[in-house]
Amino acid sequence: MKRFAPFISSLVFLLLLTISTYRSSSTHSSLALESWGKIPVLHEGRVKPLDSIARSALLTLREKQSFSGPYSSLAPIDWLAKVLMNNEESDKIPVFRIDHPDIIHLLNQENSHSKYFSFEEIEPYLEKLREQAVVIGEMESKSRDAYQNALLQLWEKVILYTGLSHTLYIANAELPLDELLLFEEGIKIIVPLWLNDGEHTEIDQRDQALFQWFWERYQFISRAAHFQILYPLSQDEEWKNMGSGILSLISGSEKHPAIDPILTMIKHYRESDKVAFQKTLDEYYFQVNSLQTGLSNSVRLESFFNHIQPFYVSIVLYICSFLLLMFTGLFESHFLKKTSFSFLVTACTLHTLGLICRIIIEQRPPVTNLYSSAIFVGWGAVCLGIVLERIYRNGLGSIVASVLGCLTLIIAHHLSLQGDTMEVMRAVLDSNFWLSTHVVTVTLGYSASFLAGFLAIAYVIRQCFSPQLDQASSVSVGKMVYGIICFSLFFSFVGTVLGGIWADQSWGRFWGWDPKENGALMIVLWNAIILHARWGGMIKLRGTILLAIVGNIITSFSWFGVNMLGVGLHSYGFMEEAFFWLLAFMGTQVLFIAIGAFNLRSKKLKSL
Amino acid sequence: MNNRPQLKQFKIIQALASLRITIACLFCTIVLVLIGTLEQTDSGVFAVQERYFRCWFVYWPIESLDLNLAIFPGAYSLSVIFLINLSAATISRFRFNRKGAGILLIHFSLAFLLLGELVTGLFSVESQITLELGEVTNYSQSPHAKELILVDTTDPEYDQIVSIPEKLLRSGKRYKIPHSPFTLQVRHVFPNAELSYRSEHDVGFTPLANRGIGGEIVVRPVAPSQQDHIVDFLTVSIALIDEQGRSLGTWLLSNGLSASQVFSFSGHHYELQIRRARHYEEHSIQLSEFIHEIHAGTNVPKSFCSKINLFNEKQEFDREISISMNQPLHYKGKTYYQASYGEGGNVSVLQVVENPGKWVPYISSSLVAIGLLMQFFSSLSQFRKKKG
Repeated sequence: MKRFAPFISSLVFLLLLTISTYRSSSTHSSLALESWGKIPVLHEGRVKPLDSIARSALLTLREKQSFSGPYSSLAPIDWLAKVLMNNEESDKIPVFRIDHPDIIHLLNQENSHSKYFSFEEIEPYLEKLREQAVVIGEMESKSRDAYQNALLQLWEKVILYTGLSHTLYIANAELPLDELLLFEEGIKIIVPLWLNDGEHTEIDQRDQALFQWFWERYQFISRAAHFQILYPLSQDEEWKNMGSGILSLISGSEKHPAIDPILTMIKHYRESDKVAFQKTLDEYYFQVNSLQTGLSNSVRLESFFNHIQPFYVSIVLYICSFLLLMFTGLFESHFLKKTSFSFLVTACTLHTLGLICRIIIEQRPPVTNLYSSAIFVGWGAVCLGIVLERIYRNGLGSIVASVLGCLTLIIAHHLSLQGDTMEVMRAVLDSNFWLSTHVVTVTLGYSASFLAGFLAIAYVIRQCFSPQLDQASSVSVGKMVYGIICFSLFFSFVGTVLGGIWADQSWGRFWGWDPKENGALMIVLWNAIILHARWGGMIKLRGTILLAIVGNIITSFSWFGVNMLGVGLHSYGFMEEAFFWLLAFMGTQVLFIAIGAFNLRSKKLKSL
Repeated sequence: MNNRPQLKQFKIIQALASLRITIACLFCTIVLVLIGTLEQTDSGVFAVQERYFRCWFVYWPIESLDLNLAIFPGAYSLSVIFLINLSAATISRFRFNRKGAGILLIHFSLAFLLLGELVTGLFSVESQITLELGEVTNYSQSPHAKELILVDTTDPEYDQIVSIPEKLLRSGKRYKIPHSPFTLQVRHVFPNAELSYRSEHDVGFTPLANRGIGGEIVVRPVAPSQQDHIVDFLTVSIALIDEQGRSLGTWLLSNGLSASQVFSFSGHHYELQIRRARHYEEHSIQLSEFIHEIHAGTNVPKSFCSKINLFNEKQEFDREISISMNQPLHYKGKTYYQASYGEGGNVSVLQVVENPGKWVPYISSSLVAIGLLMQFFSSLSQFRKKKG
């Protein structure tokens, strides 16, 4: 029993953590919003549950999926339900995160203690914001300053929010169902009159004006809608949003069967009529399921994936593993060490499951964009770290694995603030074969480079605290770093070459000096330098350690730096904030190199 | 005593085989690649390639002294140093046994890869075809190079075209133009220029030509553009001289002037023009359909596909093909790729590549990968033995 205690404790912890995240991100509403959140909609080219819309919108607006203060019990889906179906309430919820003091000043909110603002607080200044946003939008992106970027960002958030609020029906309309009925009546009267224009010109002016008024409103929501909810009724039909679904009634099309239930649900939601809401929702699902076989399967998985938040839980587990290992150093307890390792393995397992979920939902290989590359780099490094730990059992593999796992997932979290992380692929990238070979191998190369670099950092730090470390363990660190660099060289090289072959297949050019290609080449060359210098006896342990840390700088440059140049085929978007963090990271690496260079000068180490 | 000279040679070889050279070479390559990457924020990738990678040296122009200082080895020099270093290492250091086989394989395949890229750099030709829906064409156009053409349009059945490539246009040069009574004399050449109609503000304007539209055009020479998507206006002024040595006049030609300039001489009609250099084929292709799909509810392109009718050299219909992203057409040593599209969705741009070294990277990189794997497994078994 004692043998399994570490393992069991980590599993129990995992279970508790998962249950608590699941509960905290589920609704406490008495209405069946949990089930409502699984309604499939089309957004940015991908069918996803409403729940995903809620989460990615919150991440963009608020940079967090959860609320605090008086709204702390709100789950993402509760918030979305309010935005889509009861605007008066949602306008009061502080979802707009604003950090720039000048913008807070612009909104006359200097006295506010919070950095989150509600739509009500922003609304009076919309016109001001719009005017400035138009001017800034015409500027070249490179010449904008921090304030202008922040303002543009806020304006984009406003557009996202208002788009959402006008998606199911016109925001703040009191009686959607009755309005639609009136409009349908209007169509019956006015359209025939239009058609026989020559004979019956006496259309009532007021009818005409009312009809026009409706028509403009529906035009507006057909343009403003954030996503499409009216699912295709047959293979060759396309998804539509509510506005265009309603407008198509004018041309005599049959009414989409989802329109009425959606508007009815709005009514019941506002009345908090639990039973009626559930009943309408059941009807809605009955229709979806009878038409679209399998439409809701991946959507259901995605909703589940959203709720358990595997990557978030993994971060917590990685941190636990790291802390336990630190305590191991203090108390020299074998039990703690084992527990830490089993936490690491549990975290890695969950990390893996999360990756597999994404693969199934997206029907794509694990790495498709910068966000997923961060997840995958971490995963690769953790797996390699676990293998190292199994071989050397000196705690270094575990420590570095937990740090890298945690760091990369945090980076991934920040990348997810830009919107949906399972975005559709551009035409040229639309090749699962090359995505799963070239991209995956190159990314594993990044993993290995970082692992080597972080092992080196761990060694430098350890050497600061216990300089009397025995020679044997220094030698084994040298071997670990060396082995991982070999691994990295192999994967970087093969990955780079596969990229070249892909390019040759797509453009007829094996090598085009594109920034991202160059970045990958630099990793290959750097690893080759370290290995050759070691083979030639030019560097020993100290040199290997220091050069491996330089490898971190080069790898981070080729992973993120080249994307920030804003040129080339691989530029996924210029990220100003990320640029700061990249420089900060590189700065810390230089610091570690300096410390290492200073601290590892002892004669004993030089002979290794 | 007899061994002495041999030993001396061997010492040179050993010096050339030094790992320090290898490392210096690798390091210089990293620096070169880094600068070549950062430079791309300002310049197009084509200009960067010419400056850093397809050259022997990187130059630093000092304008005040009108000097071009070589300050860093270019990719060609680094490759040559690497090849010398590698050959020397092979002679002096490498072991030709089972243990050394992996290392040997890796390095020679890398050398092979480099040579292949050299072949590509020297001999591959890239050009583009822009096709409107229904259009038939039998030529592709160079993305950068231009040509000066003299067309004899007298015969309504066919045109007779004489082309002078851009790189032969040097001021002062004279060319006897075949199948015509003319000698062409190049007077001025501007690799890039801004053109405008003369206005009343252009006081003291001296026209560069006395025939055609050139008399009305003001030419301002400018530096060649560094961006990939901007086409330079190659502008030249030429004189035509007949067989008796009399000048027919001077013309100003540029690819910035859209129309060709027409003149007649002894009963023949001619056209003069500068245009993007063309590569003619015996077969021709026709764009029958262009399909451009986007992801529903977005502006993100999902796929491009050009349906092409291929006609053989006798202009008989051969077959119908579709060219799409990641699915090129291979035909008569050339490969046709879907590259881009025009506005409105009925113009397709194909990239045509002819590269004799195309297969080299495939073979060499698989060999390197095999070598790396061999090395990896032999190290692993050694490591296991030690551990075990």
